[in-house]
Amino acid sequence: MRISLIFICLLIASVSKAQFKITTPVKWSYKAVKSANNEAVLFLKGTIEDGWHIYAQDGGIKSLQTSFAFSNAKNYALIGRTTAPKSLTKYEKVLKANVSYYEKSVIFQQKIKINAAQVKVKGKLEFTVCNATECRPAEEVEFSIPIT
Amino acid sequence: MKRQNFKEILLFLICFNCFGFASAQELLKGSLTLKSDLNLASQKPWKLVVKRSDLGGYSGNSDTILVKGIALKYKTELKEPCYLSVDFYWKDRKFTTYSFWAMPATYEIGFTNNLMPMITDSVISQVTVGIEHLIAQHIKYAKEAERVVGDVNYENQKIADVETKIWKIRDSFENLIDSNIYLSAVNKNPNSVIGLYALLKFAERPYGKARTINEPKKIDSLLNTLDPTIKALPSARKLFSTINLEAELKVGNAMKDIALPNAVGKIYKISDFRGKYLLVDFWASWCTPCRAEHPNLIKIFNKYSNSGFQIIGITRDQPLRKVDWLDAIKKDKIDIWLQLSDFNNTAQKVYNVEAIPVNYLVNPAGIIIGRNLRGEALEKELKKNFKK
Repeated sequence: MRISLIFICLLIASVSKAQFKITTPVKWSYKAVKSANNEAVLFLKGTIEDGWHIYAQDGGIKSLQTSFAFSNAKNYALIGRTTAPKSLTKYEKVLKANVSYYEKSVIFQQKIKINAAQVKVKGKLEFTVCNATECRPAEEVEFSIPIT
Repeated sequence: MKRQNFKEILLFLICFNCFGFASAQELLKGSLTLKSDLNLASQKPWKLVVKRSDLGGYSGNSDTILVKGIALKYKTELKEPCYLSVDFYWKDRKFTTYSFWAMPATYEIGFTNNLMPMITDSVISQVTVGIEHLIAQHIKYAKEAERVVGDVNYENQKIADVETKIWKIRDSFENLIDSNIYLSAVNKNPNSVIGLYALLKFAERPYGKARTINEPKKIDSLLNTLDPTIKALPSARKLFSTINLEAELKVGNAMKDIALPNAVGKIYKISDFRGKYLLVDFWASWCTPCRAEHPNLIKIFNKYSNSGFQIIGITRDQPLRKVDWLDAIKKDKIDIWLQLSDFNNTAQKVYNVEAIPVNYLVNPAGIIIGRNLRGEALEKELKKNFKK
């Protein structure tokens, strides 16, 4: 009886996402990949529900931009700025400006230099998400990404 | 000999309790431990991500653990039961995941041949069983609804009629889900987290017309039927503060008064406008859907402002972006009505402003007569009141 309930739970998780309310239509996940020369790349992925979109780091309206802030630490250093894939662009006639945005999913990358054996990169990201009828206020998400 | 027997009996009793059933009053807060003997998997995972959502379904924390060794252990403190996802990452295949309702207890995780995680040992929790049962029931009704909808006859019917029929079917099933599953579970489980879970679901439904907004008194009275220990849980407290806020903001209540500055710092109060019909509109320069409403608001303002209708725009723009705010007012030509800023987030707190646009229509006596009226709906409500 319990096993079948568990399988039903799995079915629910994949079939009816809408049943579980989430405060924001954007889910974030993180990964770090080490490369040569004591460097690593951080991947910060946003998965966006249908109909919603988040905005590029440098597209048009400042208040809408997705931004990243990494905490100062001695055991790692940022190399360059956070990069992102090419965004979609459209002219918002209501705002009389071009906006650059992402739908469905987007992976931001940040190169870092590692100065110690055990490194955990902490920081926070901020984003605004909108759909056709409403905008949700800018949200701050804290992250902590360990590096092997 | 006697002493050895006694030791064996004691050991047996201890072991029996380790793998027994949870008692009627389960621990609702405390440590959650996930354990896994990784020798049992055909490969070793290199990373585990544990994600938690609370009883109301609000996503919360995410913890990443880099796997070292063969005995995996994760421990965290829970203030109430939660919904847990464990994602295992493997070197040469896609990550596998498993989700379940977790109590503050210990869970042993094993793997199928396909490296799918599963719970191999835990205390059987009445709370978990109860919540899973409600979920299964919901799915059953939802599937039945779709089956009935699928049977609707399209032949020789007007599309509008068929769509009306389908909406009626969907609505009636939603009502059944609400009464037979959730409301019923609240009534039957006032002393259990199951009752709280059901109430949280009941309160957020129906979709688009949440009861927290439209029937806060009903939710409040249901919340009060729950046991004090359940009412003290974080999710219950969150529901309580939401409905209190929403109850105060509903149609029929007095609009709460606040004072905010305009662009040059002059302070205005909502109550300054008693005697007029007032639309309090929350927007921001960066909010496309908000600004898309402005042409319509201008039309309505021009039509009714001489008859005693006013609009107050309150922006959610942040202080550093004051220029964008002023620019938007100019561009959209909405300087014809009062524009106030909320740089200290006073209005945001008082009116629980989350998503925008959101607006309140207030009558001359200061009572809220409409909420989130846009486009035609706003025009209709004003026409009604100005006819008198």
